[in-house]
Amino acid sequence: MATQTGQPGALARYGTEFREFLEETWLGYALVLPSVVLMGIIIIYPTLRGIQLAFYEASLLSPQQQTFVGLQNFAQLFGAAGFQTALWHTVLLTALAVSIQYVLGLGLALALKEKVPGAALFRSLSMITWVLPIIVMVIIFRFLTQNGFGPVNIILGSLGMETTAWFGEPGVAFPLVVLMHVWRNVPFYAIALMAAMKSIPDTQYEAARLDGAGPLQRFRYITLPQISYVSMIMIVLHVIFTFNNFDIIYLSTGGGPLGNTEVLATYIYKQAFQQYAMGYAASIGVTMLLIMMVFTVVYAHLEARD
Amino acid sequence: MSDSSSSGLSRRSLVKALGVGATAGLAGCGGGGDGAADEMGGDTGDGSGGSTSSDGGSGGSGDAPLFWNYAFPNDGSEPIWRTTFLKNAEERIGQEPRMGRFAYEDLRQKYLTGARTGDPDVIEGVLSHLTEYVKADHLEPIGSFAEGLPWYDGYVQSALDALTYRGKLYGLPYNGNARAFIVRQDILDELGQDVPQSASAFHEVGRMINSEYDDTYAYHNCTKKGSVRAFQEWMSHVYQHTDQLYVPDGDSWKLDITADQLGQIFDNWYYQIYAADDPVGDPDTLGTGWQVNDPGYLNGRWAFIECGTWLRGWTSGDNINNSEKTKDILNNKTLVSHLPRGEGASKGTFLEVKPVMVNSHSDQKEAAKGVAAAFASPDTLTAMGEDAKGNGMTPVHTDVESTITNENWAPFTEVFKTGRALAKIGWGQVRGPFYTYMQEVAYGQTDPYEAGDQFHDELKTLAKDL
Repeated sequence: MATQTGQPGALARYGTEFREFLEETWLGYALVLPSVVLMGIIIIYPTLRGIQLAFYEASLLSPQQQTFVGLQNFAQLFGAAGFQTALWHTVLLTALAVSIQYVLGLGLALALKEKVPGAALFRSLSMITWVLPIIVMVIIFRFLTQNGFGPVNIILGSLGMETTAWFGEPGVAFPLVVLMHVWRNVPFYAIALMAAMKSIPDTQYEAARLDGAGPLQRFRYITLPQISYVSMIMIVLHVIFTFNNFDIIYLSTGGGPLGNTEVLATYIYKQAFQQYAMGYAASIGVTMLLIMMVFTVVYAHLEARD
Repeated sequence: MSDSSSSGLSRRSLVKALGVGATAGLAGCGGGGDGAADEMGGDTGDGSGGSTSSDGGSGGSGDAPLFWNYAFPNDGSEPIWRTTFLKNAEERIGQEPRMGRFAYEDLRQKYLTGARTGDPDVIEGVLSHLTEYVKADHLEPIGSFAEGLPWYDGYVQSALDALTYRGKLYGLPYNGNARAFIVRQDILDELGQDVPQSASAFHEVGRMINSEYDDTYAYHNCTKKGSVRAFQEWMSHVYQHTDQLYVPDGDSWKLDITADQLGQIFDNWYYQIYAADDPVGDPDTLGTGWQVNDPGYLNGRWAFIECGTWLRGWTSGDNINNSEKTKDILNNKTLVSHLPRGEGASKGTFLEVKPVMVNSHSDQKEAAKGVAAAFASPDTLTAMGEDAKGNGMTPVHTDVESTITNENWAPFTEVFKTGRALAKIGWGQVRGPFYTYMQEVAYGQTDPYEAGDQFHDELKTLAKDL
C-alpha cells in the first residue's frame, strides 16, 4: 500500500520539481535562445551541410544535382598527391610558425617584463603587427621583397648579393610565409605571456634568490611552471588558427611557386571555386575538421582544468 | 519560491520584451536591404545616394534593382561614366539602381554561391564568368529584349557572338579589347630592328635588348599561380594555333590543339623567357602577376609586354614612378602590334568582351533588363570612353567613337579583329593544370614539350566534364 500511495506522491513531486525547474530556468533558456538559434543558423547548419556534402559528388555550377558517392571522395583524397603535399605544408607551416612564435614571444615577454626605459611604449607599438589587417601585412611584405625597388633587394644588391622577387622563388616563398605568421603573432604571445608572468608573486622570486637560485633556475622552476597554462592555451589556439589560415597564403603566393606554399585551405578553395568540385572540397574540409577536433578537445580539456 | 512568484511577472515582461526585441532585430536583419543599399550607394561618394524613392517609374515596385559591378573607376576622379549611366537607368526604370562594387573574383564567388537569392538583379563581369553563370543556370536569356533596343544593330557582331550560348544571348556587351603586343618603338629604332613578327625573331631581338640595356629587360609576362592575366596571355598564344581550344562535339566538347602546339607555346613564351640559358625575360620576376607586368612597362623596365587597351590611360598612381616619363613612353615611344607568332601559327589573340547580365532568379527581371540596357547603351559607352580612355579605344558599338588619338595605338583596332572569345566551357578546370605546367616550364623543372604532352593528355581527359 505504501508503494501504491507513494507512487502518485512521487510523480506529483517529480511534476512539481519539473515545473519549478522550468520556472527557475525558463528565463535563462529564453535569454540564450536567440544566440542558440543564430549559432544554429550560421555555424551548425553550414557545418552539418558541409559534412553531408562530403559524401556527395556535387558541382559548384549545378549544386542541385548531387549524387551520393559514400566514401569515394575520401578515398580519392588520400590518393591525391596534391592533397598530400598540401597536408604536409600545412603541418610544417603550423609546427614551424607556432614554435617560433612561442619562443620569440616568450623572449619578448621576458624583456618587456623588465623595467627598462621605453618598455611601455614598446608594449603599445608591438601590438601593431597583430592588429594590422592581413592584406596590409601582405602588401608590406610583397613591397619589401619586390625585385628592383623593394628595400630588401636594395640592401642585398648594395651588398653584392642576389636579388629576386622572393615570393616567386621556390625554397624562399615558404619561409617567407612562416615569417609573416611569426611577425604577426609574436607580440600577441608576448603580451599574453607577460600578463601570466606578472601574476607570479615577487616573493617567490625573492625566496628563490635567498635559496641561491640563479636566473635560469628561477625561470625554470618558478616562471615556466606558472605560465604553462597560458602557454598551452596560446599554442593550441594558434595551432588551430595557423592550420586553418587561408588569407595570408592566398594573398601572397596563391599557393605557388610550383605549389611550394599550397596548404589545405588554399587547396580546398581551388577545388571548390576553380575545379567546381564541391563534394571533394567538402571532404577535405571534413578531414581538416577531424584533425582540428583533436586540438579543440585539448583546448576544451585545458579550459575545464581551469 | 516567493521571490520567484513575486518576480514572475517582471521576468515574463522582461522575456516578452526581449522576445519582441529579438524578433524585431532578426526582422531587421532580413529586411535591411534599404540600409545596405544606402551604404553601398554612399560608397561612391557622388552625392546621389543609393536607392531613391520610385516616382512612378515603370519598374519601380519595391527596392530598386541591385547592380553589382567592378567597372566604374574608383580613383576619386569625376564619375562621368557612372553619372551618365545612373541618369540613363533612371530614365528607363524610374529609379536609380542600387550599386555594389566588388573585385571580379569576389563578384564571381558571391554570385555563384548566392545568385539563387535573387540578388543582385544585374551583374557585370568578364566573359569566363558568363559561361559559368549560364552553366549554373543563373542568367536570364535577353535575346528578344535586346533585339527590341533601338541601338541593338550597332553592336559589333563578334561581341554579341561572344555572349551567345546555344543560340541564346545572355548579356549585353559594354567593353571589348584584344591583347596586343606593346612595343617600345624607340628601343627597336636604336637597335635598328623591326617589330618582331615571329617568335624566333622576338627571342633574338629580346636577347639583343638584354645585352645592350642595363635597366631594361626585353619582355615580361605573368607567371603567378592563379593569375587570371597569366591564363589570358597563354590563351592569346593558343588562339594563334587554333580558333578554339575546345570545339563542340555533339553534346560534349573536343580538344582542338595538338600536344606539339602546346609544347611550342610553353617553349616560346615560358621556357625561352625564363628558363633558357640566355633568357629573354628576367627570371628574378618569376611568379609575379600584372602588378609587376603593367607598371614595369609604364616605368620603362620592359621593352615588350602583352596588354589590352587599359594601359593607355594609366599614367599616375602608386605604381607609377614618374608620371611624365610614363606619359612620354605611352605617347611617343610605344607602338602596338600583333603578337609574334610561333612556327605554323597565325594572327590571333585573346578577345575580352565584358558583359552586363541579368539574374534569372531576380524578382524584377524587367527592371533589371532596363538597367543592363542603360549600362550598355551608346550614351553610357561614350561616357565610359571619356572617363576611362583605354576602355573606349575599341568600342563594341558602332555609334561610339574610338578614343584612339595616337596613330601608334591605332593597330589595336586591327588586333581586335583577330581576337577570339572564350568557348563556353567551365574554364576553371583548365586553369588549374595550366598553372602547374606553366610554372614547371618557367622554373625549368619540366621540358616544355614534355609538359605539352602531359597537359594535352590532361586537357583531353577533361573534355567530357566541361
